[in-house]
Amino acid sequence: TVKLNFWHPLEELLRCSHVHERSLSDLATDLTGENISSVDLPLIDDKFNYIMKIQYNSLHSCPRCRLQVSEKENELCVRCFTYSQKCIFKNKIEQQQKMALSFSTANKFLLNNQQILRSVLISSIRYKQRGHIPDNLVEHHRQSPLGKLKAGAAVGAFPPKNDTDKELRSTPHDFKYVFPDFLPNPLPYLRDRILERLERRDMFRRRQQIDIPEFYVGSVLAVTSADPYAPNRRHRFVGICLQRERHGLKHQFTLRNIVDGLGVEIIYELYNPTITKIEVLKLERRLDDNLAYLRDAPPEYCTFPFDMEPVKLPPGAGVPLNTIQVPITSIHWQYKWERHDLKGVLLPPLPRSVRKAAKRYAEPWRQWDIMRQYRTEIHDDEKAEIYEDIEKHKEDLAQYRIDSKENVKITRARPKSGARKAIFNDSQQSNTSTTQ
Amino acid sequence: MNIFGKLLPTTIDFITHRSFSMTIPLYDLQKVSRVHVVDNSKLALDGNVYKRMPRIIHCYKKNNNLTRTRLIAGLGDKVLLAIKGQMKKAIIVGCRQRIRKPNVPQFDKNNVVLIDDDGNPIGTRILAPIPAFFRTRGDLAKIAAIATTFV
Repeated sequence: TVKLNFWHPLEELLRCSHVHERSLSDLATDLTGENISSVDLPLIDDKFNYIMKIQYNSLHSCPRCRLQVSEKENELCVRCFTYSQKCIFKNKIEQQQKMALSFSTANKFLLNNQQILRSVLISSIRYKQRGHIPDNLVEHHRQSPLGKLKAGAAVGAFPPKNDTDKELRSTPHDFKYVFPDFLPNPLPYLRDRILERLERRDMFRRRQQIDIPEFYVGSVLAVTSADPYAPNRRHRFVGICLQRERHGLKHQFTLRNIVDGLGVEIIYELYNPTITKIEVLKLERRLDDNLAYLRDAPPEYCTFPFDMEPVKLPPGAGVPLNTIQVPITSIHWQYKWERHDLKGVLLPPLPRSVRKAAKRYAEPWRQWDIMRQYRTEIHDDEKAEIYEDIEKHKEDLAQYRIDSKENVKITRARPKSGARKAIFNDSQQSNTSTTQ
Repeated sequence: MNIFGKLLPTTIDFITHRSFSMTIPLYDLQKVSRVHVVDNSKLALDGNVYKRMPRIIHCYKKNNNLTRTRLIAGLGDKVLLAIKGQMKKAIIVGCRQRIRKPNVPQFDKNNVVLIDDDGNPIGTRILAPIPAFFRTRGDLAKIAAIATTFV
């Protein structure tokens, strides 16, 4: 057994058999070899480096931490004892001896060889990451001064030469909600700026062929894609948009609907060339970014008839916000909805332990976390650059449509096959409808 | 990336003293997984009401890197079922597994259609919607012929 007593070294010094009772100031002057057997004065700055090796009869310090008291020599204090117990050594005596010897030597080694250890750490990390080429080497040839010039302050290069030539177009604040597919990945190490530009060009090209409308999570869409094996050569699916993922050309959205009593979800790529038409039957927003909880909701909240007529909004109106609170009625939940800050959800009464756990995992400070907001959003300069391209594309689109309308019928050598004809007619209809 | 994927699922009436770790349910169809038959054949109608739900005994799958014990079946795969004390082959017509590929549907139930050894469906109608790619594959064309709705 070990007693828990705190050891005050200076007080004990005074009670030493070799040292008479004196004041602290006298002690400082009388520290000679005669009075005390062996003393290393504690450094005033390093409070935790007590290296006092005082030998006296009454009390002994823990050989490992030298802060706690132990009755016998070379006996560990409670904390060190429990630590030593956990080690993988077989003999306890060996353990204690080894601890007494190794900790002091390790401490000295660490203090003296900090730089060497740092290099060892770095080399071990590099070994783990072997085969990984750092971004600097890969992107070296891409970091041309031209690219930096255009971007401006965001890329961190010299400022543009002629400020007056560039007309500063103000990007609308809701641009990131209307065109989330154009925004790049907020994580900088997952970005490839050249690929982004190439993809953007392809996205504009695709948008010339098809009208990709503005829609949000919670709006009801109808997607027709080309299916060569169907009688109509078309495959149509209607559903509510649960989520929108990925950046650039790979932008995806999932639609959910209940068909003949069976819930079905399909993921569509927005820029897939086999998609012939995307209609927004009901344009609206919800309170959450992800409506995966609709899987655990009663089926009325997900059923949309396939022959649903589009809901027309008055011109100039904003996108309506549906503040519906969806109840979760199923017994088995896919995820722990109570732990996520979901606003469009009406949870049933939960047991106390669940509520406690939800509190533990809650992050109420998130709304004030500015750094998180900074990390998850894209810089305004980059957004401005993207929006410039979009504005230019809109102008080009209008011109393209005018040209295609005025063009004379393109004569073809061979008549179009049935499948391609249907797809061509679809795209023509969509183009003409939007211009009107 | 699924933002809910980090946390595990729960039920309302659950045991609170769990001290072991769980994985996210994968909804894979493998041996012993229970399945809902979607035919209008007699075996299917009886099997759905039997004391034990129809279960998968074996998945027929070629070119699989996984071991024989961990064969997973997906949409359009052939499977051996145990229905009403009998063994019968079937084809998976609806899968709850999240494949997360574009244009491939994901259903809320694991649906299955009974089949002969030759590949001919036993029933005359299928009472649930079927994925549209069944029309493309030759071995699933017989099922697509009976089906009413395609998703």
